[in-house]
Amino acid sequence: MNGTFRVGLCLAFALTGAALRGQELAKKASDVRPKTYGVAQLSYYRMSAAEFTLLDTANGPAYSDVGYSNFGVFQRYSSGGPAIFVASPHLPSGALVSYYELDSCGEDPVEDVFANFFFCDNQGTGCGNGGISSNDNGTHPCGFAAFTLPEGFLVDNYRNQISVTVRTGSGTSSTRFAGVVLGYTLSVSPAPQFSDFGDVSTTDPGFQYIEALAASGVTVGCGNGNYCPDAPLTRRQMAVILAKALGLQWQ
Amino acid sequence: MNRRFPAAIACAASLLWSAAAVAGAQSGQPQAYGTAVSYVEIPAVAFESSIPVTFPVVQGNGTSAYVRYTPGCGGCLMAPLRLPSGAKIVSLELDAIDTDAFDAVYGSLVACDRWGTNCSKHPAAASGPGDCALAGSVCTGEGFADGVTTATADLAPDGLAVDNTQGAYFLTGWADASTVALSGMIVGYVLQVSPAPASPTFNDVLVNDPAFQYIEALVASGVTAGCGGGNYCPDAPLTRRQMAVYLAKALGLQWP
Repeated sequence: MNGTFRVGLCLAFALTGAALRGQELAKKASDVRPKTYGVAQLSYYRMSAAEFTLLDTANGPAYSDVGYSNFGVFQRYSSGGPAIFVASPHLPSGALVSYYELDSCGEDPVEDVFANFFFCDNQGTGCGNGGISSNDNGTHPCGFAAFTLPEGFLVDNYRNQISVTVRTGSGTSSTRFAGVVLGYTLSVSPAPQFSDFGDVSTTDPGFQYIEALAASGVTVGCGNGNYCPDAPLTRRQMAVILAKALGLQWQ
Repeated sequence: MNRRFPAAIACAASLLWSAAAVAGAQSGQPQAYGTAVSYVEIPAVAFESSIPVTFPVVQGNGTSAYVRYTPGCGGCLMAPLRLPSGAKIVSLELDAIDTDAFDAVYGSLVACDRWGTNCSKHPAAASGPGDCALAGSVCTGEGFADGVTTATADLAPDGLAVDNTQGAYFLTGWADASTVALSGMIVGYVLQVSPAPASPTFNDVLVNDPAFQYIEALVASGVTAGCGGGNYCPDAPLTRRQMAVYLAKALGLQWP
């Protein structure tokens, strides 16, 4: 992504994010049926506050004692002042992140809790800011702020690293956070320039998907450099392909 | 009496489960597919203290593995549990070292709202002294030293269905003295197909079709849009091209 594009994204996030706050968002989240696979709808990936590391300990250590009476569930802040926490999501390459939610408690009427979504190169330099989510819900004890990323952010673990930072204000337990949720869909690799099979042209409607299957080592075609796209799939072939694709069955 | 495996079975099961637990247990992706039981290992190193400043985690008395306890604080050991929505947790195993003649090690499965302010312990899991009397509790023996030990709880058939849009899930451990330590916990789960919707998407796949639930699940996942004309053509043979489209879309193939 180039710089201009990033700036454009940030503006778009800021505009669309505000519109999605509150009840409307709550309804949206509960309407979506939970799912994990496929290229439609969102799968949700939750990063607990427990996974976040305090980036700068100058303002004191990370506290997470709020909610102790409720099984000691993590809600984090720093005792001495504003604190920045960081964590990296573990999403598969090809995941397209398009939803971003901060679950936090900001009981302080002045101080807010912010979360940033960063994508960096492998060296951790040249990081771009993918969006800011802010819980400025005033005196409400707990709430969430959510943003949609209209263009989405494509996870590429081979070339990039992703991090999420959360900034808590004031240095007291009145601004703390419980976690960040990322919503994503899976996507299929773009089609290569040339076809691997003599009978699957680059204009074939199944070209991109057949190439993805071949590149994954799930199929090597039907022999003689062909894939036989119009041949019916036998139950035997189905068993081989599915077992290979899913890595079945380890117990 | 606790519901515990005989030592030999537990040992064999641990070996098998260790082999099944793939590295990167917290990756957010399932370690296995299908609707049979899969296992994810949450090692002791994944457990932090929920009150790190007051009650820091201490490395326990193990010699060959990472084991942990929190001096003076029962229930302080915590680890977030990350499973895909739709997964149903059906078993819980506690691996521990208990050389205390009275104290024990406990493990719990906890479901919270998204802020961690409203949490509930799964009824078939132990969270502290006394809970060992519950059927299916996960704890070492109260009142005697178990040594290196394993306790299991069967949460089936009800289990706990994961829904990441609604809340967060944690494992908590109770080991508050140097004579006891948590070695890790193993969560067993099954994947599930979404329940069937009330009304059908396709003209030729009605609600009484034996594959109705599964065809609807594929549609909702964006894997198929049918064969055109509002139909799915459930009895038509699948071509190899169609199969490739289905599988690549379903799994998000192929990203290096």
